[in-house]
Amino acid sequence: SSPHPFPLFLSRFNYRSTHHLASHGFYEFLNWFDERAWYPLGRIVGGTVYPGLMVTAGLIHWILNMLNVTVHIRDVCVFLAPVFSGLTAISTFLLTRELWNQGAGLLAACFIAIVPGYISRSVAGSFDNEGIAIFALQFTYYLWVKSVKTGSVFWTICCCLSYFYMVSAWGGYVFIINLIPLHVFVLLLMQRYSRRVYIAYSTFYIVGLILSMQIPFVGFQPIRTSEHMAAAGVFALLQAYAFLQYLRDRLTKQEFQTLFFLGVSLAAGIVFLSVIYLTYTGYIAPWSGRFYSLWDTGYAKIHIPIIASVSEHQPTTWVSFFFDLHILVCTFPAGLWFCIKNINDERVFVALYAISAVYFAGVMVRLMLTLTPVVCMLSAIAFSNVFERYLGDDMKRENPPIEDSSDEDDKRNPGNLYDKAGKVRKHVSEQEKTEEGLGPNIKNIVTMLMLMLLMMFAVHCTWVTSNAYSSPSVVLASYNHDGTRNILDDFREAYYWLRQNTDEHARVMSWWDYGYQIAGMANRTTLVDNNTWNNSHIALVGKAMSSNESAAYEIMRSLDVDYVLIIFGGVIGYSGDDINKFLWMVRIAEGEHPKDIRESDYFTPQGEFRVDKAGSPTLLNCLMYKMSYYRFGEMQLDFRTPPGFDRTRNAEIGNKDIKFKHLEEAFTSEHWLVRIYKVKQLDNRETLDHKPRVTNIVPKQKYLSKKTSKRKRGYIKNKLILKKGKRPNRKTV
Amino acid sequence: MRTAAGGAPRFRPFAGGDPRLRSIRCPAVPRKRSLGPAVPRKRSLGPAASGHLSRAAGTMSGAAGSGAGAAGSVGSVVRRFLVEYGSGTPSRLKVLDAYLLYVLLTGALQFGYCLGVGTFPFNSFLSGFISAVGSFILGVCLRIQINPQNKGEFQGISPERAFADFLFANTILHLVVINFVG
Repeated sequence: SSPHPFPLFLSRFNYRSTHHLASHGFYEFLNWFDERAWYPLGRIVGGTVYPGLMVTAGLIHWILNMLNVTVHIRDVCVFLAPVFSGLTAISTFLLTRELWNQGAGLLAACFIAIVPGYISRSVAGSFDNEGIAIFALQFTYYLWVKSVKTGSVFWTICCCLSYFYMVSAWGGYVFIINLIPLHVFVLLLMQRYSRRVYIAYSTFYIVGLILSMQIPFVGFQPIRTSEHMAAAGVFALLQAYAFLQYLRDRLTKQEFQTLFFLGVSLAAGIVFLSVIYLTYTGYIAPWSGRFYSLWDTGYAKIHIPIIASVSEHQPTTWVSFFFDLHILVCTFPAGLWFCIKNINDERVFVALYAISAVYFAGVMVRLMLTLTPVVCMLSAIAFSNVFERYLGDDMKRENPPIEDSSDEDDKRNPGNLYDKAGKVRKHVSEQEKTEEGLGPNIKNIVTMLMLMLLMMFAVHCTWVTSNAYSSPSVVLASYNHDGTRNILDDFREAYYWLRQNTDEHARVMSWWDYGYQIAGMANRTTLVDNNTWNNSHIALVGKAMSSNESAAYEIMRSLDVDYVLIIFGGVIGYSGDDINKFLWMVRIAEGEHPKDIRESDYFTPQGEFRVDKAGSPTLLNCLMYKMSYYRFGEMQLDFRTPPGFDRTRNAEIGNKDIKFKHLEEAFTSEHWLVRIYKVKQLDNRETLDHKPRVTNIVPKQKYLSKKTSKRKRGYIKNKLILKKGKRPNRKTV
Repeated sequence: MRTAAGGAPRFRPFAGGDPRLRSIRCPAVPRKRSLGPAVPRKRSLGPAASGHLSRAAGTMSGAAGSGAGAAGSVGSVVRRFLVEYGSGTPSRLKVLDAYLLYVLLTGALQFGYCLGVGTFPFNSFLSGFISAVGSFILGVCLRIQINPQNKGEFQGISPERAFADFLFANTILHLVVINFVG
């Protein structure tokens, strides 16, 4: 029922680190070494997170407490996302107003306020990087458009600061640092270069570059990795172009040509050679795997299973486009068309934004989030255009004040060139409007239709929000036949058990999805968690899960594991459990240990992944299978199915006789959703795993030779010869 | 050409209209000639300017057959450019250009040092170099904005506003640089 079958439990960690920030201060937070995560290794939290979210929450908390408004940091965290979604709506309004007009801006703000694609990150309690990052994204784009329009250094510096906030909040800042250069580059190609663009981009690049390097997690990446090289290349290109423009103004065509060829060939040679040199010497890192996977969708599955294993990194289905955007997904191409038809500098930008975001959203479900704002803006433009046309009749006399804010803008600064193309076209459309007489009926019908669409959109948004996105991922809900709701609180039950019944320093092994939850709710040390920075460590856990029990025991001993926690959905039919994720564990383990783990071993000869009797013996005896189905064979869920019937996979399990040697069951939650096993210590005295050998040989039996035919005695060399004599006993007796 | 009408008489429309680009693309020699007197060039005061104008027209009618003389004429082009620069640039911009040259040399010096000695405290080198590049860029932006020739393009920005922006941007830049030097 949940739209994301494998929910990411990120917010627990964010809350925990925010709490640390609020109680220990900023510098302590930056230096925080978390020894309870990634067990033998630990994790330097300050250097491996985007601190924007925590710092924002901590700052709000601090300010409120300064003003003697005593709130708990938890409440700040819970309400941060809704507050920022409000700010997102405002910045979307501003951006759309810059792109089109005020009416479209208002519609866009309404859309982004309720659209499910963004609601998923902005409900109260969702304390996630993306919630504030989308605000930063939109606001940066607004300031960028503003600075391109005015050519003012002030707006550009504001844009840089907003970009800095974005860098501190989310790894998606790479989207900005590639989109803005792309915009500039396309403007150059379209011969729309102007000094305003030069000022805006040069300042943005150089100040944004040094600002982004202030975040410890980003570090020197902006000058070292290929993702950021496009920006640097466009910067260099723009400098060269501007210089040539300057010369061209000063020189005649002939003179200019003389210099031009010299300059261009020199510059191209230098740039080309330096890029080759830097790449060879390794100053510039090649594209990282995460970005390859954006171009080649099959790449991640082969090379980096850790990325492909997350459901949010899967390619998007059509259903989820509709689910998250509803009617907007149909109307936004119209808005894009309007923008392209009345093109000017900033509409080039929004067109590029839309096209790239659509592509990325198609590659990964998670990047739907970057698509959502631009879809809202373009749909708003489409709707507002239609309404302007079909509701315009009554307002025709009072048209000029409503018509456009850009008209006013032009009056204020009549020298502006930026939307010249748009202006010309607007006149044409106005003329058309006056020429065409639309009947009032048609107008009414179209207006009604549009309003109906908007109403359905609102209904859909409300429904999605209440059903899919407002339930916490920790508590599952199921519905009975009569519609009553069952709350499955197994996760919290299990974490509470861990917290109360295990040693404070116990180390819990689980798959990485649950790392943050265990750390946050059970307060126990974990081996791997959702910050998947160390692939080989995760692969080791995957190897333990997919080996047989004795091999797994060795790994677990070497990692000092005390408890193993798994998620098992076979009883209630929960599809996001560990057996369904199991193949990813195998794949990740195979990537690091190809000799010990082979994915093909876990399939039947026909290439199926089955848990019943036909399943491969390797699967039926691996640790994960045994832990999931231990004692499950005794359990009959209802009378139509045999005992040991797995509801998630609709199969009767193949191995009902499961016994453990090194593990023992420690806890199983009410619906068997969470199962915890204790890893036994080594025995004090190692028992033999076989019985001592029992032989039937009677040692005193006389040896009988087979040489019986001649009754000839065999000769044994060096045989002890006993001399026969009288027995002394008899003599004495 | 609303802007040309509204702007200063010396302003030549640059980006939006791009009459120059169009003139390059189409082979129209007469168009160029007709455009020449219509757009008053700043440097047309000096005798050298009128001389090169006639020369340009001559080569263009000769279908750009001066491939052989290209290498030799670079020196003369540069020389003439310098003469024009000396006569046709306001003194305020010249001061700014001197500053830009100084910043450029600072950056080049740092880069040469890094090539020779190495980049050991990498963030220090970076912050120094970026400070130089950033100052240069901001100086160029200021120069563009206060250049009276570009007045039409930056309507809302007076020279005073441009200078205030320049100071603000430099403050931000160097605060970050100081933080980053380490």
